[in-house]
Amino acid sequence: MKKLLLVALLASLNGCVLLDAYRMAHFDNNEYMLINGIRTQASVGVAKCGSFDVVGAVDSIYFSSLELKNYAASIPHNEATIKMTNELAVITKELSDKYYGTEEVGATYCKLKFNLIEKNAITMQTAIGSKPR
Amino acid sequence: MSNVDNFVTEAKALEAEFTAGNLSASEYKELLKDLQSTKLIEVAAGDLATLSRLNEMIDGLIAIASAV
Repeated sequence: MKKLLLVALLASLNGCVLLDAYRMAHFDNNEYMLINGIRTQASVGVAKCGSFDVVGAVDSIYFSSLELKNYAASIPHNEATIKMTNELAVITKELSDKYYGTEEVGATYCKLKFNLIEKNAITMQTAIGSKPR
Repeated sequence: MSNVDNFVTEAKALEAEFTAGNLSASEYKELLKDLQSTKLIEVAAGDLATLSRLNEMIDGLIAIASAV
């Protein structure tokens, strides 16, 4: 009876989704640590907007974001995390480009950008943290 | 509040900052584009959460089948 139930449940699911779920990359301590670092850097960085110290925070968050992107990219069956890390890397690169460009960077832009990075990092941290052990 | 409502609210908040002169045109444009990236991150996070739940379910089913 239990085997019949198992077969019925499995048959009701799309085969590809089932296979993706079965093979998906499991929880990775380093991945979680890196996204937690980015989240923390964003919450600290926002307070530095408008000061000279902000450039260091921008450099640091861009580096960490690239580090996470590169780390996640080589893990098999990690597509959803790779998508998220790619998008976050674009957001942090734009921030870095602004500070190394010719245009003056406004404090409002800086705060909105760091807040957005923190919001996305929280979303990612929750998703990465829920990966199967 | 739905994701679409959130998106509209955030876009309006950015527009207000731009209209008030707190954001330059390039900053405003970039932040609007970031809202799109945020949406993509939320969709991928949702997919990942779904796969994780499904994975747990498969593990449970395997455990049940093994016990029979």
